[in-house]
Parts: sequence; C-alpha cells; structure tokens
Amino acid sequence: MNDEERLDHWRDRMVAALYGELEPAAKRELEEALAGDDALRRDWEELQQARVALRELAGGEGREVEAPAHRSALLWSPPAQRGARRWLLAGGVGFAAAAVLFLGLLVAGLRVDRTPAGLLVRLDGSPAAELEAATAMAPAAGQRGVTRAEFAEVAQALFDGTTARLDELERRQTGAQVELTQALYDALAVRQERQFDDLRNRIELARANNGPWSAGDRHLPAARKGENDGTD
Amino acid sequence: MTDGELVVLSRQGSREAFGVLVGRWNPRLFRFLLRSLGDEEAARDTCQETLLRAWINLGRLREPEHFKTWLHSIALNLCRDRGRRSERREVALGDAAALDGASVEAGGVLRESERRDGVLLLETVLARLPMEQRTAIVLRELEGFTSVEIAAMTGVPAATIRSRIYYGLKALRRMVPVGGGSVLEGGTSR
Repeated sequence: MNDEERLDHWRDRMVAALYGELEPAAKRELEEALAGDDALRRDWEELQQARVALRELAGGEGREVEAPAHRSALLWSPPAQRGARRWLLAGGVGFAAAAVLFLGLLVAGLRVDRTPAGLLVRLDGSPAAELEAATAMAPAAGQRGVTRAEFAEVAQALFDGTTARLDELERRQTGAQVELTQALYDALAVRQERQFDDLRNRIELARANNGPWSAGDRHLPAARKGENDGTD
Repeated sequence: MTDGELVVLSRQGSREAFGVLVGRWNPRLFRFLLRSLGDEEAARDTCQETLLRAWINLGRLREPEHFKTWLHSIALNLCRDRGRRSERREVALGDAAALDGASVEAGGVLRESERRDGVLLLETVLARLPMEQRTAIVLRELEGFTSVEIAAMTGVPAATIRSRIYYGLKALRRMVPVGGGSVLEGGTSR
C-alpha cells in the first residue's frame, strides 16, 4: 500500500468511525493509528470539529423554512395511480370479455326469466342450480317469460350503467392528474422564463458596462456593482 | 401505522394513506432538498415533483418499508437532472456566476452578504460545496442515512460516499469555525 492508498484507507475508516459505522476491531485499529500519527490525529480532530460546526449551523439557523403545502387539494387528492389505471383497464377488458361470453351464451340458447328473486338465467332451457330453489318457492313467478325487448332493456341498462361508471372514474382520476401536471409544468415554465429573462438582462447590463463581448470569451464580462442596475 | 402499511393502503387507492405519508415526509424532504439545492424555490418545485412521481410510481416500490429511502432516491435523481440542466445552460451561456461577482468555489471566503440578519445560513455554507459532497453530507449528517444506504440511493460504492463526506467536511471546516458562526478569512478562491 503506497502513501496515498494508506491515507485513503484511514480517511475511509475515520468517516466510518465518525458516524459509528465501524466494526469494533477496525475501531481499535484506527485508535492505535491515531495514537501513533500526529497528522492523522489532526485530520480526525478537524473532521470532528466540522461536524460540530455543521450541527451548530443546523441548530441555529436564522429562520424557519416552511415546507411547501403543495396546494393540498391538488396533490393530495392525488391523480390516478398506475394501480387504479390497471384496475380501469382490467375493468374494460373484463367487460369486453363478459360481453363476448354473453353473446356466446345467447347463441347457445340463453334465456332470462323474471322471478321474485330477480332474473332467472337459463342456459338451453335448464335453470341455474342456485336459482332453481327460488323458482320453486314462487312457482307462479317463473311462468311469465321475459320479452326480448325487456331483456334488451336490462342488458342495455347494465351496459350503460357500467360504462358510465367506468367513464366517470376515468374522467375524475384523469382530470385530477391532468390538472396537477398542468399546474406543475405551468409553474416550472414560468420560473424558467423568469430565470432566462434575468440572465438576459444581466448579460445586457454586462455588455453595456464593459463593451462588446466576443463569443470566444470563456467568461462574460463581470458587471460593475452599482452601475446601471439601480443600486447606489 | 408504519410507512410500509401506508404504502400498501396507498397502492390499493387510499388517498388518505398517501396523505399521511406526505404529511410525515414532506417537511424532511423539503429540508433535504433545500440543503441540497440551496434554493428555496427550486426545493419547492423539486419537492412537489418528487411526491408526484412517488405517487405515480408507488407500484414499483419493491419494499414498502423502505419508502423513505426510495423517496429520497427520487429526489436525488431530480436534483441530478436539475444540476445537469443548469450545467448545460452555463456551458451554453458562459459562466453566469461571474456576473454575480461572487465566488462559488468550495472553501472560498464567505462574504457578509451571504449571511441573513447576521446569521450564517447552513444552506449558504452547503451551497459552496460541490453537489456530490453536499448531497453525501446532507444525507449522512443531517438526514441520518448510513453510507451504505446512500450508496444504494446514488448507485456509487459506500467507500466513495465516505470519501465525499471526508472532503466535504474538510472544506466545511475551512469555511466555518467552531462556535460563533463567524467567517474564516482563509482559502481564497481565485
């Protein structure tokens, strides 16, 4: 290990020790090295002093800085997250799959009858087992069939209701997200524009004070404080 | 309720749960960003964007209990993006800092104008450090992350993080004396 590597090694150990991240054996090794090396010990003391200074500054700042409220109505009625979108997507796919199945069942001989317990679904003339009992308890109710128009009406109402619900959910969640994103980017755009304006003004001021600026210059000419900038 | 439990509820669509997480971490996140970026307005913007991204990407968080570390990782990435953008602008337009008549180099003399009401601000001192050192110090010293956690957040080895802390602390020591908060007149920058 050359000198530089040795220094790096102890620097690493010192920082780890400073924050209590050093294993006991390594800590003992460091303590021995500190005891036998004045330069290293001075380094160690400086690090400790820097921490003290930093903590003093952190504890005695001249002002309290308030965390942003984030226009809570915006962000913390948060927009649709991916999970919700996945749910919406799953709902849409599920609905399409149900519609295909429904059409398939119609072709296969699906019938729907009205009963006191609701609609009785039959496939190819056979009542679904769980609804058979309900039909038996109210034998008269199952005798009148549902007309094609009634069936279509119920199916349409079911379809409309589900679609409206999905649309409403999507509109509400997408709307909130669009609103939030728009507000965020508007704020960023305004700020960026202001920064560019400020920089442009300062460049113009510097040019006015120091003559033409060559594009090959590394630095813009510095403005002389108090000249043409409205300060005394 | 733990962060992990709140994350799980948030993923199930509970806005209230995410609101609790925000209430819990927003002040600390903002303080971290303020110290990392050294600019209150930039910190506010970045804080808001961090929380927005956290909400949108909550499903990607593999370990809900590590919400705090994950949140700070997002904030760090945004800080880096912001740093890169401002570097590009400076390259394109020349050294804008020269127009201020103030040095931005680490270890330089802090001026009276860099104090507010006579009090040296922590952000002012931190702002004099290179971004990487500043971030490492803020995360380790002020936010209490271990160097291994910071390494995971930043994608660099823990030894590199400790090296950044070492050089950052040494630079701070030159800038700020212990006690009183007065300015050291050492280490000219130009």
